[in-house]
Amino acid sequence: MDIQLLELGTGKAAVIKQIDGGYGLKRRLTSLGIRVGQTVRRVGSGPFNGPIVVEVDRARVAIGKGMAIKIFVEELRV
Amino acid sequence: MKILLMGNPNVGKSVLFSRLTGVNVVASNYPGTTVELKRGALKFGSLSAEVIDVPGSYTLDPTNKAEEVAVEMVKEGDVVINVIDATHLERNLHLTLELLEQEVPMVVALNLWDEARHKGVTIDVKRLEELLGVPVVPTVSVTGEGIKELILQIPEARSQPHQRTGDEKWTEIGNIVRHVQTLTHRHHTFRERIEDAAIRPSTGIPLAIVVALLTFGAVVGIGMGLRTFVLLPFFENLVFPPIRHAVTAVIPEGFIREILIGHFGVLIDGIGWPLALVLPYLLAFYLVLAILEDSGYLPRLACMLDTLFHKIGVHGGAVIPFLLGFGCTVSGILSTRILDTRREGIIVVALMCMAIPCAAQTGAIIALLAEKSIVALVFVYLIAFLFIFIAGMALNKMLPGSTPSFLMEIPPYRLPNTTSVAKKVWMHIRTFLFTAVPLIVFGVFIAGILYESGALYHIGILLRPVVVDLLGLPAEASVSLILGIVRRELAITALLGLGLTLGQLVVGAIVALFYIPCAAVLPVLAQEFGLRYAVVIVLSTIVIAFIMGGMLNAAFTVFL
Repeated sequence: MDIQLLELGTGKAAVIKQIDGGYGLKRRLTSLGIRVGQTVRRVGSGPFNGPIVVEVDRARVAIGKGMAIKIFVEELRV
Repeated sequence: MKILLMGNPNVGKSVLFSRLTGVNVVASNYPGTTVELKRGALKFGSLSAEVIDVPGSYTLDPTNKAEEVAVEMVKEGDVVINVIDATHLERNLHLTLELLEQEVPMVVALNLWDEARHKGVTIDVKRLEELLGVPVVPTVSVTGEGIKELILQIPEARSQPHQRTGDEKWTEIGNIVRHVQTLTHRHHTFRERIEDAAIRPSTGIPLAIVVALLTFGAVVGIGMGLRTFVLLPFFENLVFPPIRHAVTAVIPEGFIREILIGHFGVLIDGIGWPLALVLPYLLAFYLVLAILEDSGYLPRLACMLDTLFHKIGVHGGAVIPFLLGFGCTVSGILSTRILDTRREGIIVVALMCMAIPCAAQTGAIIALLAEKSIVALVFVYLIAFLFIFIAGMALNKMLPGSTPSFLMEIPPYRLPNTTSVAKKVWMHIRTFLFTAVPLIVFGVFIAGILYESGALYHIGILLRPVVVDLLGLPAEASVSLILGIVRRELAITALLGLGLTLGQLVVGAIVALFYIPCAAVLPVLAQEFGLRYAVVIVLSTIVIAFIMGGMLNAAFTVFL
């Protein structure tokens, strides 16, 4: 089942299934390697509903909450 | 011939630029250090070219002002050196393909080659060259490895026109990466777990507080130490006595002698203020800033502060312009180009012009207050931060529009390199010596003339309602409001030696802090945000400075 990236637990990996946003948002995320089909792993977050930090293509990217609720992922079970 | 250095943010373009041209530019470990074009000359054998360091961009479809600058440049270049972060080949190749579509002759510099090797990333350079159709050279700009080979390949630059849609590009990139890159899979190391401590709330918040306290402590400590034990004794014992002696011997008592060595003497305060008072703090601040910048911690701090910053209408990335503003308001304003919207820029710049002291002013504030009372110093900073928060929330409510989400690449930690830190500190010191010091001397000179000619007395009478009645300062303090127009720290130093009470010192410091930033800020504000906004900002700084000072004075009169 797909969940919002926001809901992904720290340390857990997931595959991006869908990005619910316009061209602008998709383009900005894509330019940082966040796109459908990519595997991401949540490595941290900011306090009080702060940005979610994910590892993607061996890089770390911080994604604000407003964007993280528009990214839907499927958690990978190890 | 014009050579453009282009690539994603934080891949080492600026370091490469310094390598190619010998021109030092600021390079840091966070995306968006370079916000304007930097130009330099490259001469190598028969090759002679102008090299332009272009702000980093993820795409040729710009999302902020710094990226717009990048995109506008493409058509102007004769050759593009596309700098790629070898550790993140896939993401970086997107811009490469976009650049190829522009049909400009291109060479690819596969930078951070050492880091890639270290991280277990192997790239088949020959194969990549074949697939892209342009020369590819592995480089390590920090050490200079591969730079000569890169220069030798510049004449071989080729264009390889492709036209693909967005999805086709990613498919193509997938193919390229599959063919050229091999990864040695590793488990997550202990070091990486430690690295992520800064981006987890439970450990990140205490760490941020520790870093903030260490930074403040180091700047104050190093600055005060240098001033008290090195510079002050040096100037007081070795420089000023011979100057006073010589002037007294040569120039008869009177106006000219007073201008030179009297109150606001050009040869005493004109030297002592910039070099013994401001310089130590400037040095301390830029040393600490350089270490923070190069370590890669700042984007992590941005992440920790994002939610708090949203309350004042900006995202966490604004921590970088704010922090640079603590060095110099002008560089702080320029770096707002990395923010996504004009609205964010306006909020940051307004708050910065009012309540963020530049390093020079910090030095002056410390000299004015800390020697009397460290509590007063902390009090002034608390008021400044409280103001930033309250005024920021108000601006966030008043200005139309909303705050964009935070989206930023978090670079790996890197150990700050002594040479590059030293170079950076020296660049800032040099700028200060050549652009700020003459202005300070000029300010002192004007103050001396106003003081000695008696004009200051009349100005004092004119400004009496504000300076004396509202702010509770002596009439001579009005010189602070005049000098403050020239430089931020002069508004403070002008208060030295007036024999103010502690309450008056705090009021004076607050007024000087909120007052007009400095003459150099105005043209930059007008250039970045328009003349109208620049005027609004400057007028508001004056009004708010008087309101804050008046309120404090009233409070002190009642409670003290």
